[in-house]
Amino acid sequence: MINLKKISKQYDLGEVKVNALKDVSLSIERGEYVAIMGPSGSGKSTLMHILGILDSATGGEYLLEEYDITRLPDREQARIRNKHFGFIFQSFNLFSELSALENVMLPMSYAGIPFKERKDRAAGLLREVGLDHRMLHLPSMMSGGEQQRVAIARALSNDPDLILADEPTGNLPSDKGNEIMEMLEILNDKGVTIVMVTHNPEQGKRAKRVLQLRDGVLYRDERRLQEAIDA
Amino acid sequence: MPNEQGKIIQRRFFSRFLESGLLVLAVALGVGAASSGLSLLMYTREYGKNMLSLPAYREIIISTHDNAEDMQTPVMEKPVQENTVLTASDLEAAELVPSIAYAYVSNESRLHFINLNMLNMSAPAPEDEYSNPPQDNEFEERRAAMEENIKTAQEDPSIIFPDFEDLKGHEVTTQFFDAWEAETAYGSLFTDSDLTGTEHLVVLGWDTAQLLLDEGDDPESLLGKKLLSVDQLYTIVGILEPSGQAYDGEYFSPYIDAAARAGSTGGFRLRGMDTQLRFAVTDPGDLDSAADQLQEWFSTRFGENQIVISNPRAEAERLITRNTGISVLILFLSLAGLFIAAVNVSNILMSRALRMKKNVGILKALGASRQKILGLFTSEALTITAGGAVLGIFTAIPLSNAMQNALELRNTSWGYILIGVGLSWVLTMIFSVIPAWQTSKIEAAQAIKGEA
Repeated sequence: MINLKKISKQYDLGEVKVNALKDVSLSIERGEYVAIMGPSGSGKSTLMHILGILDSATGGEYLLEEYDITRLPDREQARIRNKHFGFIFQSFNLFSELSALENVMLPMSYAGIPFKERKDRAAGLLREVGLDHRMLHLPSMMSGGEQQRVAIARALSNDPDLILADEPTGNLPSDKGNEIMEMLEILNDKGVTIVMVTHNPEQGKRAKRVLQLRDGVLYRDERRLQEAIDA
Repeated sequence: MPNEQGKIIQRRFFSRFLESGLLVLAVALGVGAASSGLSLLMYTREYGKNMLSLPAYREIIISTHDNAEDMQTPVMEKPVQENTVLTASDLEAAELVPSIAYAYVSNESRLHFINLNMLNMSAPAPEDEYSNPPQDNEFEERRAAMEENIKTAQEDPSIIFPDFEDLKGHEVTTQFFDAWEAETAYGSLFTDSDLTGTEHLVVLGWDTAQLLLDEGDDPESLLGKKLLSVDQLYTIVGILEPSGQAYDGEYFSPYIDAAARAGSTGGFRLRGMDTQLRFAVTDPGDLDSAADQLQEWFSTRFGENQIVISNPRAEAERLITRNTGISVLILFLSLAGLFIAAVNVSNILMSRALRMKKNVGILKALGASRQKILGLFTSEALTITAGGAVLGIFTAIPLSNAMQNALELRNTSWGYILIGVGLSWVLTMIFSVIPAWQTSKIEAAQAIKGEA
């Protein structure tokens, strides 16, 4: 599904050049559940942003279904983000002006889905995450756990192939964090590919594959090790 | 109904109502000032152009009075000091100046009607010192004669009794109609043979004819009817086509020379009353040389400094140049105001957009293209500037009227105000789109990371 070849990312800070990623190569297949781990500043978020086409690499190739998407125009990249990717952020990032229902409807409006259809679909997704009683509530009226569930419903609104979750439980108490992790696992069981950035080793263990980054270098890919042992 | 993206901006707009309202007000003031400045300049130019295209500004006026137009003061009260008397025969000066196409006499005059109200006129009260001449036999005799005249006139169905007291008009010679390209809608103009004073004819301007008509009557029905003034009975022989010019509201009667007048029964115009001679050229560029030649001719005829030569076009051009200069200055100041308002609105919109920087990153993550983000913030700018432009119209109208009145320009130039508002709005919109354009270029990852 995704194939990164020698991806590097360098930030030019005037006299200083910072290498956030150095020749990272990896491939992610459909249905995988990948955790990206590493200390702060190791390049986890940068890798995730590049995977989500929110940032561009300064070197290397990014192939999505064999297509080099880094060369696509902005509008086409936006279409891919909208139709194929779903994002979940640590701080939920819901729009405070919109109700839970409208937040979930938002990505569907970019996909050109008619109002009635997107409203029905958003309501269905909110019911699935257990928020049918909160549909018309603004984010400020909801708890952190509820907001993150709205964010998950939003990420699922266009039926994506890949969910990119950046520290999805980072701002939640452990019980609520556990609920979110269970939701992600259920989604993965349904065939949705999940890539999650996390600091939490326990959560990392729940993923089927763990990528370890340090100083921008991918130095461990645990599934590969397991596969090697199995082999 | 806006989609979810539009709702974000819409609700932000109303949740920051005071800030949004101030932005709209700033745009309104800038647009109002600039559009009134623009409309003033455009209107001044058009007004000047139209004014100079009038026949009055292709003429040279020869008179013996310093103020050639001051003919409205009752003649008996006007002190007559000059010895020079101009007559229609002096129009022969035109023969020596080839550029002069028409030459005519034109004197302001007024018809004072005798009407039915006068029968009820009582004798002035004795204590009224101002308007109370001594009640002598002459007064009574005149009143009796007037009553007799009215009674006689009442029996004549061809005499009109207007319900107003007087009419403004001109005594002219026939080339006036050629110079002003005045043509009759009904009846005919008078001719040179009518300038003898034996028959008193009148040609009415279109609006004057409407004043004299009963509702629903055909203007043609006025032809042959008579107007009874205090000194003459005038027969209506023609009605001029409407022209949009001032003479629509006037009447024209044949100028009767002093010699002929002396023998007439009227004698209203006395010998000393000023006569104006008007010489019209086809090309306004010939006015100065024609004026010089006429000056020479009249100096030879009457001596130095005996007549006044006026060139209304030169006066008008001075006025137009002055008004244009003032308009340009006002436009410059108002555009400076608009520029300051637009820059401030742009800065505040940029600040509002930067407060949404993280949201822009999220919108991009959810699938918004650069174009969608541009559209989002442009719609906000559009709402603010369009609201300001609409309010600006209401600011511009009184402002524009006040400035036009100050420059003695009549009428409200609605079209120019709207053009001015449109142009000012476009200018403000350009400034307001700059923040939207810059915001749309924000990198999604940086926006999310920057405030996360």
